[in-house]
Amino acid sequence: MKFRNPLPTLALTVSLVLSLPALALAETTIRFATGYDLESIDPIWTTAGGAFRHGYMVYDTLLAKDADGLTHPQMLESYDISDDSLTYTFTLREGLLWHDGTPVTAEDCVASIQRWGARDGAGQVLMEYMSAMNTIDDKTFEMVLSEPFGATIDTLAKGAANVPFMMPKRVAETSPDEQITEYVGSGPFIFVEEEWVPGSKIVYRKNPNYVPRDEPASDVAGGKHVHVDRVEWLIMPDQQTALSALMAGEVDILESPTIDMLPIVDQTEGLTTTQVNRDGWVGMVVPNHLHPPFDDPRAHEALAWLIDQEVYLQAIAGNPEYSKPCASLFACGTPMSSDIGGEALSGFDKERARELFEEIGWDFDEPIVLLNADDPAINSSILLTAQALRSIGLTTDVQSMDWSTLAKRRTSTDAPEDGGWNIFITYGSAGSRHNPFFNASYSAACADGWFGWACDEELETLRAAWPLGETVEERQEIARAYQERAFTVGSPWIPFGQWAEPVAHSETVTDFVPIGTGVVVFWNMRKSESAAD
Amino acid sequence: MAFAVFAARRLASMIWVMLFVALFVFSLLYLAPGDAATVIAGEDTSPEDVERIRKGLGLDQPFHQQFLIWLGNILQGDFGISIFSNIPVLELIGQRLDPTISLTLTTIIFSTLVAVPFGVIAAWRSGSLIDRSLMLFSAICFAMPAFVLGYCLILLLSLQLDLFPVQGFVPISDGIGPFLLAITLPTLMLGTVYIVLIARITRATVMDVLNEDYIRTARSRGLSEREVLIRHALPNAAVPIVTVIGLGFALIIGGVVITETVFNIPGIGRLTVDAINKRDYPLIQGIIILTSAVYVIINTIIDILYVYIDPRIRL
Repeated sequence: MKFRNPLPTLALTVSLVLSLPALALAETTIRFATGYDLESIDPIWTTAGGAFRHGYMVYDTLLAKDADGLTHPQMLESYDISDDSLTYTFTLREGLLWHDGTPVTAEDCVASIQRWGARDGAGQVLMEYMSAMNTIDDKTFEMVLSEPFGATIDTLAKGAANVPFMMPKRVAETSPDEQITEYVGSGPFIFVEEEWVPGSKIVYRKNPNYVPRDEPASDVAGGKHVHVDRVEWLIMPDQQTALSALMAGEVDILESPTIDMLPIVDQTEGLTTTQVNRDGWVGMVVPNHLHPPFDDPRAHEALAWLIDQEVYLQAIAGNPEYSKPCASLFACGTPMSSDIGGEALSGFDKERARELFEEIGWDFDEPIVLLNADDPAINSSILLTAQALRSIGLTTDVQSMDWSTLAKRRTSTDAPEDGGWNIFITYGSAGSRHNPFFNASYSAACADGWFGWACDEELETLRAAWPLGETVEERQEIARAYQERAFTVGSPWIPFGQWAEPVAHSETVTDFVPIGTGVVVFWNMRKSESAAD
Repeated sequence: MAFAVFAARRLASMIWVMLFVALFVFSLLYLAPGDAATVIAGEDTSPEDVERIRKGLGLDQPFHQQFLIWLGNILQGDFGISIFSNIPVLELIGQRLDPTISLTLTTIIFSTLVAVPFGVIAAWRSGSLIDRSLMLFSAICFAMPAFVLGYCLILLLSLQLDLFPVQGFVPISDGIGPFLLAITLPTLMLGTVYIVLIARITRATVMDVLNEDYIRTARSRGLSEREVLIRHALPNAAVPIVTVIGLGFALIIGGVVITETVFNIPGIGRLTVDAINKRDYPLIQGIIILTSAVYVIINTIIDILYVYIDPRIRL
């Protein structure tokens, strides 16, 4: 009989046993490199992108829209609409808890809706229709309207900023003009305030008490199952550094890599890209309706003839895989989009554009003032627009500044020669441009409207009528009428296409949920030890 | 007694400098285009909402009223609250001090330790291969933008050789090893221009001193070259070298903005740029006032150091 030394086996067994607790306790952390800072911690106080994204981590909504644009209960178990369409009764799901462990109540939701309704544009309209909000019991409340408002449910399911996120009553009672100071939500992640370094790092941990819905996740609706323990947002303003960090394995996901980085990502072992910004961005050329030449609809048409969307998108997105021309004022691929009235946007005709400016009697030596900002997409588009205007003999004055300066400058109603402007360019989430009602940029309310001050009573009437449409078909009709009218009298802005950058990430991270507004969400996402797992 | 009077005079002048800085900074920000309200409001908002936010922040108040309120608060040690994060300015700056102080100190120490001997040797062996190498190295470093050097360091030492992390900061309290690993590349990037600057000044100054009569006298007394350099040349060349090290502090304060961005270090430099981009006025003002104070204090210390280094300088 041979005697075997038991020590190696014993040592192996002991080390395995000792390592078990460590294995069991090993945290899964997703490190997310983003250029978006958390400007503010209050997604109701501001519409800024960082706060909006933070909102989806920490808070939840009563209702939410899925990838098909259909509205579903989220925190709600059910809702009921009275026959006269004046009373909406909402019942909360069982088991909903705030991060501090207290139950979510109907009172909390009423206070949250009131604060949101005082701040958000669509919420303000809803509040105008509302005569009362009553708490029936801990889980039930009702909303009584003074007259039917067909978009009530859609407004409460609004997925773009300001999103009606639910907060505890004591937090929601903060004045809408002041920031909240307590960050308690009922969403899938808990904000770790003590690890927050503004401008640098934001940390969230899994909410162990979150009760996901049973339905599969679809956009911001459905079951928000969290499979990671911790998410770290690392604010990296320098894209090159962020890419290097991804390549070195120091971060797991890089949001919005620039076009030139995508081939590098594709060639790097262990890295890949995924499109999570489902609707992407909409490019907008905004003419100033107050001053010549864009106080004349013919100048708008001329500008549209000069916009070659393919060229703009080539400059911004590079790869056609990540962009698509769109001659609609509403995000292409969504129910309200159409190409009605957008003939000029579908073509490129310098001669027609020149004729239109000549018809107006515009002095070609008079400079057209274009505001340029320190953003690659805006810069490319402004330079292309200026080049197109010059190509028909017009004179341009491109004034460059940082975005904050431009954001202030565009509020000026002065004449261009006195510090005003003729054209600025911006882009916004296509997910928040599905219809004429929810977004301020569709306003044609003259001095009370959005920058550029489009002014047309009929457009405003159509805008107000859209939420009152009772069926999708009715609303489509109104949206088409709005678009046709807008392209005839001078649209608040002229679209120049849609694009979306994919996220670059380690192959160990999988199961992204694409979102229409482009926000990266971390529910359902999984992270394995290796790509093969 | 004379020293006390000198120090008191210097401190009094500091107060005037700081008051001037306060007024200048406030005026500059008041005149600067753009404001926080537009950033808070975001893209999809109406001009009416922007105006409401502006009023809520008190940005519609007249200049003198805003300045007096701000100055009064500063004098009471209240630097205000960041418009965006809703966190006191001093707390925000405090969060960012460690990385910036660490980076500044490692850069100054590293640069001085490398540059002074380099400059002395180059002066001593003027026209030699070492001297010419220094000149070539200087020309390259001055010509190359710092961020390019940063990316080259990341590519070579982090991605290719896997010696250092690409980005981030580890406080020294987490261990000297991890701290040094994380701070090495930023120090190399930030220190390079500084090394060149100090080395060139050292070389020029030591060369001047080496031509002085008392150096010839020291050599004729049979002192070794090492003794001549260390005991006679270097002390007499110290004043310009210390001056450039002090002035270089401003260079570093400026340089940290880029270095902190390239290496994703959460320091004062990035905080400043973020605050300016967002027009977070209380934060910008707080950072500039405190940075100016540090700069003025360092210059005062250097002035005082002159007296010890060179007794010929009168108080």
